[in-house]
Parts: sequence; C-alpha cells; structure tokens
Amino acid sequence: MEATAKIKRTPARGLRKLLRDALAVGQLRVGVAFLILLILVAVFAPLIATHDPFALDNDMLLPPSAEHWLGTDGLGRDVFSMVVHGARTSLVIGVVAAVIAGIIGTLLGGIAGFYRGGLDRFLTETNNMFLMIPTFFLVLLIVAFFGSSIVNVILVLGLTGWVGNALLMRSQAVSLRERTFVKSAIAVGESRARILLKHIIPNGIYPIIANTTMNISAAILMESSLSFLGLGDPNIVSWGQIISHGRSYLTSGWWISASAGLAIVITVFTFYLIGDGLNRLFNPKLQTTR
Amino acid sequence: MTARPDKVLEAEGLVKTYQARGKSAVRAVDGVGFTLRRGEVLGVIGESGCGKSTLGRMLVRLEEPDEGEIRYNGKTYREAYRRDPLAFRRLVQIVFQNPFDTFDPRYSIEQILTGVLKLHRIGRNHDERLALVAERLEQAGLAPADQYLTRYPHELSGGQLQRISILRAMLLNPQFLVADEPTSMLDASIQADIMNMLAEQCRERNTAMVFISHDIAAVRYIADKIAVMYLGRIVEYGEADEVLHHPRHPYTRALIAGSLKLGRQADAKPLKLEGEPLSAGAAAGCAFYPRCFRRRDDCRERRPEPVDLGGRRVSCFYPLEDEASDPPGTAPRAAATRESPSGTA
Amino acid sequence: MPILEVRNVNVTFSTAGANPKRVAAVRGVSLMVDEQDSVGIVGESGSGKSTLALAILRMLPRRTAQVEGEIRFDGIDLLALPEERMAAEIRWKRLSVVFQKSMNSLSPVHKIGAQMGDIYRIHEPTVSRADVKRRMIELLEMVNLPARVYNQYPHELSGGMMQRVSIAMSLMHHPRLLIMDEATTALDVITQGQILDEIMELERTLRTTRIMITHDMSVVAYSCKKVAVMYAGCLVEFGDVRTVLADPQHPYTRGLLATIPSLTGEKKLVRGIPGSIPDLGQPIRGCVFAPRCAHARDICREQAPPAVDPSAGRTAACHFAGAGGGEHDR
Repeated sequence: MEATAKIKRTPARGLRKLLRDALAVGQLRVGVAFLILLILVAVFAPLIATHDPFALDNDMLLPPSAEHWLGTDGLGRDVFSMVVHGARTSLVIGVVAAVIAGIIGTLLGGIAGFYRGGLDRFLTETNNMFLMIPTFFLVLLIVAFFGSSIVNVILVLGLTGWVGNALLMRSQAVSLRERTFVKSAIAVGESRARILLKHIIPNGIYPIIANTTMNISAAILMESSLSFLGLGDPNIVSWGQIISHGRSYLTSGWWISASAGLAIVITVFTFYLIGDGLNRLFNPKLQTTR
Repeated sequence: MTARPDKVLEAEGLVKTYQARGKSAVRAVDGVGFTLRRGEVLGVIGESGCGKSTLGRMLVRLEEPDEGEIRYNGKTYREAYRRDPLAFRRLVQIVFQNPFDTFDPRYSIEQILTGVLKLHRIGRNHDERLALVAERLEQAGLAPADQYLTRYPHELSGGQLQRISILRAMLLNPQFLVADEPTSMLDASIQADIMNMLAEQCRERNTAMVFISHDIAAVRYIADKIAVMYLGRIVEYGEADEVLHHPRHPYTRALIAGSLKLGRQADAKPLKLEGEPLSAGAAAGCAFYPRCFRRRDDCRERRPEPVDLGGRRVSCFYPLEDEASDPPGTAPRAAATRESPSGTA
Repeated sequence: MPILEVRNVNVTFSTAGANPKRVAAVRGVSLMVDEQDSVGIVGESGSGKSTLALAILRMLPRRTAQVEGEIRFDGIDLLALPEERMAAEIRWKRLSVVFQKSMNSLSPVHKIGAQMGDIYRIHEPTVSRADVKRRMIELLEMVNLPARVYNQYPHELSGGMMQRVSIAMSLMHHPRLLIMDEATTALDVITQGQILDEIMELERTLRTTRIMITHDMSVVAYSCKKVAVMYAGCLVEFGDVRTVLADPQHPYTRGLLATIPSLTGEKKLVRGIPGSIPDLGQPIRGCVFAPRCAHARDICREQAPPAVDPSAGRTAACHFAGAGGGEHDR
C-alpha cells in the first residue's frame, strides 16, 4: 500500500484535513509563503515596478539608490523593474512547461504501466533514448532550429521534460494494476480507459505532483540558461537575459547579474521547498520529526 | 420472462499455466471441469496453492484460460458477450477476499455504488439510483443508509466493507457469483454473518454461487456441492455432506481429518501425511502420489481421470470404500501408521 | 510455583502526530501459567493477545509503548530487568518465541545450517564448530526434518518445513517457556495438524511449557490444556479447555463458539456477534463487552466486572458468570 499516498482526496471534510496536514510541514509553510510572494510580484508586476523595464535612459550603470532600487544596467534600464517583470516570464514558462511535461508524462507512463505490452516497451525505449541524450543540447538544437519565441521555449521544455514523470507514473501503474480495487473495477464492467483515468492516475499521481514542482525549478533554470546564451525570446524580460547582459559589467555593475541571479536562486529554492514538502506530506514515513 | 437454461455454468478442461522467471512453468489449474445449475452453491475447497483462486478468477474472466472452455447459459463468452461486455458483467460477479482493498480509497460508498448503476444504465437519474442503493443497504442491515453512503472505505470495518462488496455484486442481479475466500480476512465473530448474507442474497435471487475457501466447515455450511482441489485438479466432487462424511479420495479424507474443529473427539488423530507436496502440474501420474497413504506403483505412472461413483466423481485409482459406519481414524484400511521420518521430496 | 505470573498488566500505546492518542491495548490482564500447562490465548483482532506476548518478551517499542504491572518468569521480575540481561539470559535461552510466518525471517542467501549455527553461537560462543553442527542436526531431527536440510537454502524448503526450522531454532537452548504467536496460521490445515502433534510431543520430551496465541479456537481445543479468552484488551475467561468449551461462562466466549459452523452432526444456523470492538483510545466504563452483549444490564454498563481469578474460583469476567450459563447462544 506504500505506493499510494496516505492522503485521500476527499471534498470538504478531507480538504480541511489536507490543508491542516500540509501546514504542519515546515518546508511547505516556508515554500508556500514565498510562492505567494512570487505570484503576487508576477501578477502585479506593472504596479510594483518603478519604471518601464524596456525604457532606455542616459543614467547607465548606476548603483542601487533611492530612485533605482537595484540600480541600472548598461543601457540605463531599471534593474528592479526588469527583475520584477522577469518574475512573470519565469513563472509562466516554468509552470506551463512543467505542467505540460506532467500531463504528457502521466498519460504516457500510465498507459505504459497499465496496458503493458508493446506500448510499455515503446515507452521504455523512448525513455532510454531521452535519458541518453543530454536534454540541454536537445533543447538548444530545437530552439536554434525553430526559433526562440516564448511559446517555442515552453513547448520544447515540456516535450523534453516528461520522461521522469512517465517513469514515475509507469511504476505506480504497474503496482496499482494488481490492487484488488482495480480487479474489482474490471469485474464490475469498467472499461480499461476508464480505469486508467478514474483509478490508476488519481491514485498514482502524488509523486508526480511533487516531481512537477521540482520540474518548475528545472524549467526556470533551463529558460534562464537559454536566455543567458542569447537563445531566449528577445521581446520579453527574462532573468537569464539580465544575467547575460550583466556579464559584461561584472566588475563595474555587479548589481545587474547579482539581482537577477538572486531572484533565480530564491525562486528555484521556493519550488524545491514545495516539492520536498509535498513529498513529506504524501509519504509520512519521510517525516523525521516522529 | 423467458425460461432461462438450467445450467448456468459449464466448465470443461480448464488449464492455466504461469511462467515464473527462471523456473519451470507451473500449471495452477490443470484440467478442471464442472457444471453449475441455477441457484446451486458449489464449494471449492483446498489448501493454498491448489489453484482455487485462479479458477475463480477464470470463471469471471479476470484471467483467460490457456485451454478449455467455459459456457455461460450454454454460450461461451466469445459467442455471446464479446460485443456486449457489460451484459457479461451483469451476468457474472465476484466478491474478493480482501474487503479493505476492494474499493478505491478515493471515492465514497455512494459514489462507488451509484457509479455501478450508472455504468449499466440502471435508474434514470442520480436520485433513483441513490434510492435503490439506500434500499439495498438497509435491507442488508446497514441502516441508516446515510451513515454508510457518505463514508469512505478507510472509515469502515472489514465486515461492513465486505457486506457492501456483496451488495455491489448483487446490484446487477447476476446469475452467477464467485465468492473468493470472502471471510478469511475477517474476524471469527463476523464470518458467520457474511456467510449468512451471501447465502440469503443468493437464495433470494436464485443466483448460483461458487464459494471458494480453505475452511471446510464454512464450505459445508453454505454449499450444496463440494469440489476438492489439489494442485490444480479436482480430486473429488459430489454432494456436500456426502463428500465430507463419506470421502472417497484419500486427500479429502486427510483434509477432513486434519481440519480440527470443535466437537471432534480429542482422541481422533489427524491423518499423518508424509512427504512434501510437488509443485503444481509437475506430476505425470497422480498429483497426490508422494503423500498418499494408499499409493501403489501404478499411481505414479498414469494420471487418474474422474470416475463416476454413483453421483460422486473421484480422481483416484483406488478410492476409499464407503465407510459409512466407521468413524475416521479407526477404519483399518485407511488408518495411518506413524512411519519414521522420511522426507521423500 | 507457576512458571509465568502476569499480574495486572496494562499496555498503552501513545501515538504522536497532529492528534496524539493513547490506546490501551492490554487492560488489567492477570494470569498464571503452571509448568507444562499448555495455555492457548484466543482472541480476534484488537484483543491484545499479541501485544501481551510482546510485552512478556519485552519486545514492544520503548518509546511508544508503556507497560505497567508485573510479569514474573520463573520468579524473575521481567519488567524490572535491564535490557542487556533480558537479552543475554532470558530471551531465546529460557523464554523463546515463534512468530507467524517466521520463515520470512530466514535469510535467503545463507544456508539453513549456517543461520542456525550463528544464532546458537550468540548464547554459546565457546562451543566448537563441529559440536554446533552436530547439535543443529540433532535439532533438525527433533522436528522431523531430514539432516540434509542443514545444507539447503530457505527457498528449497516448503512453508511447513521452514516453520519447523523456526520451531527448531526457538527450541535450541531448551527454553522453559515457548510462546507461539499464530505460528501455524499461515500453514495449510494438514501441515498445521502435523506440526501441532510434533510440538506436543516435544513439550513432553523437553519439558517445555507452551503459550499458544491464535484466533483459531480449534487449534487451542486440539493442543492446549488451558484457554484464556481475550477481548478488546481484557481477559474475559480463563480455565480448562474442556470445561470452557463445554460450558463457557462469558457471553463473548459463548458468542465466539456459536460462530463456528460444525463439520459433523446437524447443520445449525451460525450467528456472528453484532457490533464491533470499542475504540481502544477511549476510556471504557463498565464491562468492555457490554455494548455487544445480549444480556447486558445496567450494572454491566456502569461497573467493570471483577477480574478473572482462577484461585478464587472466578473463571469469567462477567457480573453474571455462572448464572444461567448455557442456554443463551447455543
């Protein structure tokens, strides 16, 4: 019974208990607090930012001051406003890409693990293929080939990041299909597709949720790396871009790269905390306080 | 209503083989056949590893037989139900051994039970289905129904869950029910109620049942006929009380003698069986040969086919005499002598 | 002197977490086991029988389980004994145990003989290898296993043979008291009968006393001299097996016997006991069985019945023990 989580997804009554248990986990408390902060910053970016992030100015390379909280970069742009707007980019790309990877991975892994046979073999071989290819270079190739719009970046990250989720879901499905309630559903007449969607995936999805939050971090880092290399979408503000730009000014304008870099660290750490907290929540054995 | 055929189920020559990695193939079910009539209860007894659970799963098509044929109301699955698998599920149902795992923990009892009705398009809307489900629950003693409908499986006891499992199976009014060790995971004080409920539900709807168990007394309580399985084969088959009180197959005899139940005299000793059981399907001759206290050389060479002895089917070359009057353990031919430890495996 | 005296033992588990709970798994149990008196402890899930056994063996987790009362083994106060002495002098040497599915505790990658020898040497480190081997083979023969088992691996043996190995191991130091906790439950009925016969024979030759814990009354009926019936942590009846089975004094025992269908004779309707065991995390007022008892009266709900005390002639923890027993649930 260890493969499935101890938390039951029950409406109302169960939800309250879930929230209570969730808040008991230290990592989740901190992580969710930061996440809320991040979301607020991303959502209200235009209101929070002090200047237009794209506005060029003559006041270049100004250190942090009362007017420019994080100083300006080599083209006179306000660093604080850029970082704030960059939050939007990162969150959107990170979350959407991770969710795409999560959905694809869950479906493919679930099908492979539940139906077995040819599909399972195909998936395993595909998995192995992906595991052999350095994902980052694959992403580079595709972006270089197809262009670097934000949509492309999201798609590429989503389409290459599903492998881990698929493996997780597959192993869940393989053990869940032997459970009595699955045989029971077959005996009652539920079709296999219905069993997959109603029983296997909902019961097996917990590790994937935790994994997906970690994937958000990974996607954000990936995007930052792409932007750093100049392969990101030039029309949007991105932390990687800022760092890339700031690379030339590391001694004269350290606050440029440092600000964006710190933002990335905080964000990645936030999602890591949430992922770890979720793991602890869903797998009580990991809770070391007992 | 058109008259339904009398023979609900006919199984013939069923074989199921499992291939364990690195080991040889194991014939979990090795040529099983029997007939079940409407409303009849067949008890299948045997120890663990005899293939009875595999047989049960084959009868409801949770597993496909490798060889052999099963006819439901005269027709095989392929002939009659391939195009309407849901109709098959309304015909044949199963109650599992583990009530704690029979239901998906994420759904409430209400969702689970009305979901079955909805799937089979019984009832015009949710309210009708809910009413039907509530009625069945209360009839079965789970009242008030609300208490159970709103609960989730982990909030109920094993006995309650098993009752609900039986109810769910009977919601579809099946003609045939397989009960796979339905009481082995329940406490003694609950087992009786579950058996009574099964018997009652089947009687009311004239549902035939195959009751699988390793508990001979439970099977005697509930079954009309008994099939004794050993290593994948049915070694004896007949009327329940007849088989239990006048066993003709040596294994049946040993099984009954070994089943220590209250009411037996303290000095009636269980039959000593020397030797260890073979793995299923490995024997060329009789599967029981290594442990049989009546064995002769030719038992090892040919496999005994079922022989009809006046309504009783026994797979043995040298079946026991009809010891109607001799209490077990004292009949000279069948008395076991305590041999020196051998270990002939 | 009785070989085991259990006096007013309580075992309480404390669970941590969001809702800390205290679960009373064993409540005020007292019983005495005389030498060579095989005692069967019968109960369903939640009865506390296995917890009691583990308490006697001092194998309950120290942090979460609190054991109160007195347990005297051969006069020694087990609860007051430091763990090192318990492990060195008592456990396995004088007080031994066989668990359900003991076969699972055998290492799959070592031969049987090697494992047995290892365990033997824990308590007898000075014996020579040749001697150990000889003694282990003797042990195997004692439980009707052929000597070749010494060189075999666990997966080469059947379940019954492995359980016999476990029994042999538990008897290797000729303990005075052997506790068997559902030791034959996982076996088929025929092997179970064989092993019970062998155990009873061994008891006689080794002069070992046995406590048999099981949910199966028929095992106790066949192989034990005395029976203790437990329910929801309490001892509800204790006495001679024949007497208790023929004329049970406690309604729970009567109910339990009425649920077993008979193999011979006329087919009677069997009935279960309605209801379920109370929440062991809550304090219980009055008799623990009162909510399910068909004959409960007011006093049953208010006052706990006097504890079982065979020396005072009380074999059942019931206010109405002995009064009108027999005609109720038969």
